[in-house]
Amino acid sequence: MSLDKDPSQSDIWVAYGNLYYNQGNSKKAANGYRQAIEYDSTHVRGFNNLAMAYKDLGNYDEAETHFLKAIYFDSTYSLAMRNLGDIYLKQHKTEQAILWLEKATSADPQSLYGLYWLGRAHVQNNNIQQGIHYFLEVLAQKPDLPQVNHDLGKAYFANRNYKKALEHVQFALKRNSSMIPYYITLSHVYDHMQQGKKAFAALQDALTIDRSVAEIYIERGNIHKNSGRFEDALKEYNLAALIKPELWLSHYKSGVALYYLTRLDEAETAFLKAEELHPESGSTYHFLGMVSLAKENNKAAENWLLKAAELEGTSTDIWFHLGEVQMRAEQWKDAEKSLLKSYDLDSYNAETLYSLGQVYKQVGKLDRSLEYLYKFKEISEFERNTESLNKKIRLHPNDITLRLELATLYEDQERIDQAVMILHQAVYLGSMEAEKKLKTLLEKNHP
Amino acid sequence: MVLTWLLSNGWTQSLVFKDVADNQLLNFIHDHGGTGEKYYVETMGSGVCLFDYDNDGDLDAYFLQGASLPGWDKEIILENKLYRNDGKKWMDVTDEAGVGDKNYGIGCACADYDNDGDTDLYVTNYGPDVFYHNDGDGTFTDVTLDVGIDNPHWASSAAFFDSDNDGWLDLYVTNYVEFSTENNPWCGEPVQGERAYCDPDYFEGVEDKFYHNDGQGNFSDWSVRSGINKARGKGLGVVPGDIDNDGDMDIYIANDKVMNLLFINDGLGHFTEKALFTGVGFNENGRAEAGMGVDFGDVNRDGWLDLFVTNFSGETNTLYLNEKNGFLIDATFRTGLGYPSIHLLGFGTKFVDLDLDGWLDIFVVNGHVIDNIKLFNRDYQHAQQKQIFINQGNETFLDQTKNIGGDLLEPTVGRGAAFGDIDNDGDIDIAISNNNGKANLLLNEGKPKGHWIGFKLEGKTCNREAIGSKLKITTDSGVQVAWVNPAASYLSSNDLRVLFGLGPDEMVTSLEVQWPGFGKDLFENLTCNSYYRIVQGGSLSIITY
Repeated sequence: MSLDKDPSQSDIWVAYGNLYYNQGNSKKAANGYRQAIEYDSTHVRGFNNLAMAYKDLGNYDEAETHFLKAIYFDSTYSLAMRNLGDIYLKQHKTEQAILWLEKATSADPQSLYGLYWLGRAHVQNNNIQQGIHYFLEVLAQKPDLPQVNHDLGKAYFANRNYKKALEHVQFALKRNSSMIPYYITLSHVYDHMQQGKKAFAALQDALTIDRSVAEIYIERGNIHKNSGRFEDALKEYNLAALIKPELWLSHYKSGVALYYLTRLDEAETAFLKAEELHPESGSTYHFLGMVSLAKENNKAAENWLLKAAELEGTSTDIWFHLGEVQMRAEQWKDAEKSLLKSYDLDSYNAETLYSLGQVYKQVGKLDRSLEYLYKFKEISEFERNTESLNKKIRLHPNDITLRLELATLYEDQERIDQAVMILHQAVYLGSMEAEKKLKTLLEKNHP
Repeated sequence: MVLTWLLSNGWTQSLVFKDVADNQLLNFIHDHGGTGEKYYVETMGSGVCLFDYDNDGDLDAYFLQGASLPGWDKEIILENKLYRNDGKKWMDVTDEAGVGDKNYGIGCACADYDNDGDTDLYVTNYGPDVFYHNDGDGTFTDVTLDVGIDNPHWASSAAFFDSDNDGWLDLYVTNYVEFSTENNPWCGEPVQGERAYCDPDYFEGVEDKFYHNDGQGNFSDWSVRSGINKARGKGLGVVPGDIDNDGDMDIYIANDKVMNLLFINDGLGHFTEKALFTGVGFNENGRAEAGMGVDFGDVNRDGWLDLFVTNFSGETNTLYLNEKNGFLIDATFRTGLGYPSIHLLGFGTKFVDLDLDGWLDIFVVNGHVIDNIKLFNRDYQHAQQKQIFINQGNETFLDQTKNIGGDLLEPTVGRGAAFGDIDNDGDIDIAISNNNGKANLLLNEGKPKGHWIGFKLEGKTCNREAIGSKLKITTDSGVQVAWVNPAASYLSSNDLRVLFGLGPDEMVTSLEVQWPGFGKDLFENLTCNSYYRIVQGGSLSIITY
C-alpha cells in the first residue's frame, strides 16, 4: 500500500511517527506527524504528537504553536493542555503552566498526571501549599507512586515540615530504591537539619547503586562545605568534575571551595571553566569578582561584578561587593548607589549596613552614617549569636535546647520564617515544647 | 635592567635577620602543658618582654611559660624565665631575680609604676595575675596583693600608661574568655571524628580590667569608674596611643572574633568606647576579625597615629589609616597588605623602621592555633614564616619576606614578639616566643641604608619613663613623630627607647618633646647614629653603650 496516494490514512502516518518516536528518533517521528497533518489539517493527535517531537528536539516555540493548534481543534483535549503546561514549566513560565494545567484538570478531572503536573507547577511557582494539595490528591487515589511521594516530600521540605518531608522521601525510596535523586533529596533534608551523619549515609546508599553519578559527589561536597570542611568539599567537587567534566556546577562548586580555602589562583581557574560551560550564571561572575577583590585587582573585580549584576540583579551580595569595589576606588557616589540597591534587596545584610555607614561618613552625612551603623550593630550582634549557636548545633545535632534558643533569637528579631523553620526541626527531634511554640507563633503571625 | 633591579632591590641587602638564640644561649622552650585533650588555653601563648631590669644599659628578656594541664606528666619544672643580656650571651637569672612564676603564664607588661628608677613587671596568667616590684638590686618582690591587684580571670595583654596625666602609670589588662579545664568542650569534625581546638565562639568573653595608680603604691580597680566595663570583648591585644591627638592616651583593644574596642580618653581617665563609629571595630566589610597583635604608628608621616591589627588565616591583617577627622579607614587592600596576609595567622607585630629609611615598616610573627590545621586546609601550616612589609613611602607596602629570606622563613608557631635594639647597634631586633617550641632571637645584622637616632626619656614631673611622650623630629627629609610606648604587639612589651630611621639625613635639625601633660622641651642640631638621654626640663646627653 502506498501511503502518499491515500489521503485518508492520516492515522497511519501518526502510527508511523509513533514508531520512530518510541525509538527515540524525534526527527523522523516529526516527518510522520507532519504527513498526518498534511492529509488532515485538523488532526489533533497529529498536532499534539508533532509538538511532542519538537519539544524533544528542544524547539519549544514550535512545540507551543502545535499544542495550541491541537487545542484549537479540540477544546477538550486535555493531553495537549497538559503537555503545553509541561513545556511552560520547562521554560520556567510557571504562571502560564499553571493556567494550562488547570484547564487540563478541568477537562479531565480523573487524570492523575494532570494533577501531579499541576502540583509541580505550583511548587515551582512557590505556591508550596497548593502544590502539596495536588500531590495529596494524586496520592489519595494512588498512594504508592514513588515520584509523587518524593516530590511531596520535597514540597514539605520547602515548607519546613521536616517530619513529613522525610516520611515521604523515605517512602518513595521504599517503593523504588534505585532512584539516585531520591537519595540526594533525603541527604539534602538531613544536611539542612545539621544531621551530617545521616546525610552522608543516604549518599553512601546512593553510591552503592551507582558510583558514577556526579550529582552524588556534589551533594557530598555540599555537606562538607556547609560544615566548613572546604578541603573535603573540594575533593568531592573535583570527583564530580572528573566524572562529568561538562557539568558547569562541579567547576563552580570547586571554585567556591577553593575561594574559601583562599587558593585564589586555582579558584579563578575553576570559575573560568564554569563560565565557559555556562556563561549565564551570575554567581560565577560574582565569585570571579570576589577573587579579583581579594587579589587586589579592583578593575577586574568591577568588570566581573557588573556582569554578575546584569545577570542576577536581585542578589544583595553582588550589589554589596560592587559597592565594596567602588569604596576601595573612593567612588563614594557609585558605592552609595550600589549599596542602597543591596539594602533594598535585603535590609538585614550586616555588611551592606556597615558599608553604608562608612560611605555616609565619607560624604559628610554623619546622621545617616550613624543610622546605618546602629542598625548594623544590632544585626551583627544577632548574627554573631546565631552563628555561635549554629556551630554548637552542628556538634550536637540532637540538642533540642540549642534549637529552641536559636528559634527564640530569630523570633526576637521578628524573623518569623526562620524561627518557624528551626521550630519545625525541633519538632522533628521530638520536642513538645517546640510544637507548642510553633503553634503559638503561627497563630500569632498567620491568624 | 640590572641596574634598575639593583636600585629597586638594593635595600634588601641591608636587612639580614639571624636567629642567634642558640649561639647566645637563650634557650627558652615554651611548653603549653597539653596532652592531646585540646585544652583551649594551649593555643594562646606566650608572650615575651624586653626591658632593662638591671639598669645596665641593655635589654633583658622575660619569657612566659605554660603550666601542666590535666594529664601532663613530664619531669620538668615549668616556670617563667628571665634572661640577663650579658653582651653576646644570655644568662638565666630567674631564681636569683625571683620571677619564676609557675602559674600558666600568658603575657607581660613592663614599666616603672612607682617612679623609683627601675622597671617593674606585670605578669598575666590563665589564673591570677602576678605583679613583681623591681627592688633595684636585681631582685623582684611579688606585690600583687599589696598594690591591690586582683584579676583572677584569664588575662592576655596588658599595658601601662598614664590615663589622667597625673604622673603615675595606670594599668590596663585585657581579659579573654571564660574557660576551665573541667569544662573543655569537644570541638572538631563530628563526622570524621577529628578533634580540634575550639574557636572563641564557644566561650563567653570576660570584661577587661583598668587599674588606677594613686601614686602611693596602690592600684584601684577603676573598671567601672573609667567606663571601660561598658564594653566587653574577648581581649587579646592592647595598645595605648593618642589617636585623636588631643594630648592624652586612648586605648585600643584587639578582640577575638568580636568587635575591637577603642576607648577615647577625656583626659581625666574616663573613657568612651567609639570603635564602631570611628571605623576601627571591624574590617572594611563590617566583619569582626580574630584580632591578636596590635600597634599604633604614623605610617604616612602625617603626624597622626595609624593602626595595625593581626588576624586569623582567611582574614587579612588590617591597617586602618587615620583620616585626621575622628575617623579611620580600613586601607588594607589599597596599601598592599591584604593578599599577602590571607594565608597566615598573625600574632606579634610592630611598626618599626627596619631599614632606617624614615618610614615605618611592619613586622609580623605568624603561627596557626590549630595544630592539625592541614586536615582542614592542605595549604595552611601550623608553623609559619615571619613577614616583613616594607613601607614604600606612598601609603603602600611590599611583602619583602622572601627577598630578605634567611631565618625569617624558618617556620615556627609564633606568638609573642618583643621589639628593641638588643645589641644597641641602632637597629631593631626581635625576641619571639613560639608556642610549644624554642624561642627565637632575631638580630638585625645587615647594614641598613639609613642613618638613625634614638632617645631614652626620663620624666621628672610626668611618669619616670615618660610613657606617652610625643617626639617630633625635623630633618632635611621632613618631619617624623613617635610616642614613647612599650606596650604593643601581642602579650609582650617592647624597648622603651624611641628609634627613628633618618635615611640619608645626618642631622636632626630640631627635636620637640611633648611630655605627657607637662609641657615641651626643644632641641636643635642633633647628630645621627647615637642614642640620647633626655631628662624632662631640658637636659640632653649622648648615651654610650
